[in-house]
Amino acid sequence: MSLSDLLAMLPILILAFGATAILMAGAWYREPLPLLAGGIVTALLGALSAGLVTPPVPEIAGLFSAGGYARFYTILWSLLAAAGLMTGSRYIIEKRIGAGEYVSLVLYAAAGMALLSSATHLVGLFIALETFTLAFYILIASNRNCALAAEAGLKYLLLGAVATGFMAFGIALIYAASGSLVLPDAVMRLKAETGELQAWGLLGWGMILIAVGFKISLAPFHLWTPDVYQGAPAPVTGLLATGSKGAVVAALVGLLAMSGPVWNDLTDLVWLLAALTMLAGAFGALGQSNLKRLLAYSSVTHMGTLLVGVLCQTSEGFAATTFYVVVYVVTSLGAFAVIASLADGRGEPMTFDQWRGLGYRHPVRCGVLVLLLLSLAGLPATAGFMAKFAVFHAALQSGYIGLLMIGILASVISFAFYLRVTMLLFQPDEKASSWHQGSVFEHTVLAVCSSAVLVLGLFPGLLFGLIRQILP
Amino acid sequence: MEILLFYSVALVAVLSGFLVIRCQSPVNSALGLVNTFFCLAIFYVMLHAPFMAAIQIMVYAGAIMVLILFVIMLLNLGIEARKRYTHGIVWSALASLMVLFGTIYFLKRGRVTGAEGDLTAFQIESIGHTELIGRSMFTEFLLPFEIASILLLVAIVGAVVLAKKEV
Amino acid sequence: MLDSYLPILTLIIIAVGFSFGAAILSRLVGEKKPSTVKLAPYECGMPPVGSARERFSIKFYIIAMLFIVFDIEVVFMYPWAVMFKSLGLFGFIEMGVFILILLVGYAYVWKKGALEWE
Repeated sequence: MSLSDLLAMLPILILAFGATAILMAGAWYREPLPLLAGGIVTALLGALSAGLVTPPVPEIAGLFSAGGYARFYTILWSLLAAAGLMTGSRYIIEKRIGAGEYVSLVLYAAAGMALLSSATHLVGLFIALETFTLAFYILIASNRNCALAAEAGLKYLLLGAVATGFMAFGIALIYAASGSLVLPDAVMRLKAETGELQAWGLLGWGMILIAVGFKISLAPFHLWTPDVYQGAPAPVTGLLATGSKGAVVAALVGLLAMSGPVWNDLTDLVWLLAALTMLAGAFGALGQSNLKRLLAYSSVTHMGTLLVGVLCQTSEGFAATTFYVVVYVVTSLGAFAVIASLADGRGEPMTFDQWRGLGYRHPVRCGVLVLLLLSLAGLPATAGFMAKFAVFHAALQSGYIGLLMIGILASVISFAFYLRVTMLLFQPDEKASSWHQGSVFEHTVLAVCSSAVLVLGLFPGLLFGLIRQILP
Repeated sequence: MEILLFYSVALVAVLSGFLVIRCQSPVNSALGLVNTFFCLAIFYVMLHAPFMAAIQIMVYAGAIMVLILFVIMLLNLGIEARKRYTHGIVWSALASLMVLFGTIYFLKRGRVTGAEGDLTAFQIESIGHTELIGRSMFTEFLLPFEIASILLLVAIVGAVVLAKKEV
Repeated sequence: MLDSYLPILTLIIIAVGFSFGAAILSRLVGEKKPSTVKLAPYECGMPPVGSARERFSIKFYIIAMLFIVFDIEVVFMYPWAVMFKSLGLFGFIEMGVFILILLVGYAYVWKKGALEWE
């Protein structure tokens, strides 16, 4: 560790120390608004420093990369943390949840996600993963007056612990087989003799894949997703659905892009996982009558599609995956922010009965929700379409025709349930009740998300150009 | 001699692991778990990792176990609640045995590359396990060590947020 | 290698032998004249009321939880203490940062009143 290392991880330091300072401040001053504002400023400062300060070293302490890819994701997760604080502002004030705790946990989670996305070393990967997962365990169960939240927290904790066990075991096996924890190095040594992964290394990668499967809810490890998304408060669900999954995918892409085609021996398995995940998500969502559960299944489908992009293991596949992650984060965050902004004393609108006819009571926010849902569905001219198109194009070029067909099938099915929600929103219903008007913060997040979806849909080249430059 | 020790300890470990899931009273299960932790500590010793063995006993058999017992007593489920959930032990045992044999078969086919890490058993003998851990923790893995302190801080916040009456 | 653990093994054998020996010996040698009063659980001379297995308060849990966290913190100090001389000032600063961050946690817990028995 030297000064240049410290300078290279300035954004992380800002997030972590800002969080600690706010935690301390929160213990003395209970006023939530200044704490929230401080948190948002800290997150924005983190993003700003990641964007402006050029790291003097390419790698921090041999554990985390400080390259363009890492900085890109640091900016994304810092902005996500700011958005999470904005959407959560009303929630913590109304539910009387400690503002200092909420703000600091979100910032710690952002720091963990940023570290995870830039990990180049298995130890760095593990500890970063744990940092943000631990924060999420607490955030999910933070509303202690809600039994569903407690259940969600417990479920996420138990499955998260199982996933952690698999991750640690996988890392140990890879180390046992290769004698190295640095990623490209470990893979080189694993393949040294025959050019194929040896059994132990393969088993290690399999275990890591299982852990990743739990974290980003690939079928058949996705069963916790609907329950946790339903129970967790909407602002937290927004972070959980986007950041915790996106960071894991980002780490995976980073590692694979660095260490070459590791997965050649695992291709069949990953193929199967991707196909299963896309179909399980699409069919699972069909029978839902609760918007949060539906979005959970929708996120399962999206993770399957993302895995297709990762599976290609070409630079085009990685670029498409990265683009998809950004689009998915923006869209999904927006959808949960709509739910959060409508929440009032009765809780959040969840069941379809509560949503019926809401389009006439809250036309603007329901319009935004429709836009985001259509982007999730992949309607042309939205960002979701470009993302799906890029991933499927990469799959086509790598020759995964079967997977492409399954992906298109899953997309067609998902159109059905997204359209169902859209129609539901604008069904005339006299009984539809008014919900909360939403705060300025929430409206800001919604405005940013919806305009990002439109801009990325119409001018995807802006982001693609940047992504091609930064991919490791 | 050593292989005999290994297998006898392994037998005890597996048996106590079985007791953990099979005991009617959760307190007995917890005691079975303590036994398993002790066996693992012996394994660590046999693997030339005495520091890990000490930590295993201090943290797991000591502290974590206290916490588990607390949770058992906090919940204090009645006999009825315990009987309601019977584990499908036969099926899960069969399934896990199949996975185990599948894994062993798979691993037997492959070979270990024989690549050695930087830390060998010889080094541990000559320098000392705790010293080596200290050295790599404060040089190579300094950053994870400091992140671990943040992790512990988050855990403290979690304990207060989730278990304190009025935050 | 394993020879050096012989004293620990001896200690364990003696400890286990003593506890089992005492229990078996008292059973063999001791005189037994049971009566209802003698067999009842001893509660400081009071007649026992209700079951001994009552629910604990969650207050215990938070104390235990905090104990574990700080216990793990201490675990990190052993390797540091062993290498203290060769790590020098840099190691001292590193440990200082570590402890400072956890001191923040301690101050937080204190200020929040989690250490108070309410």
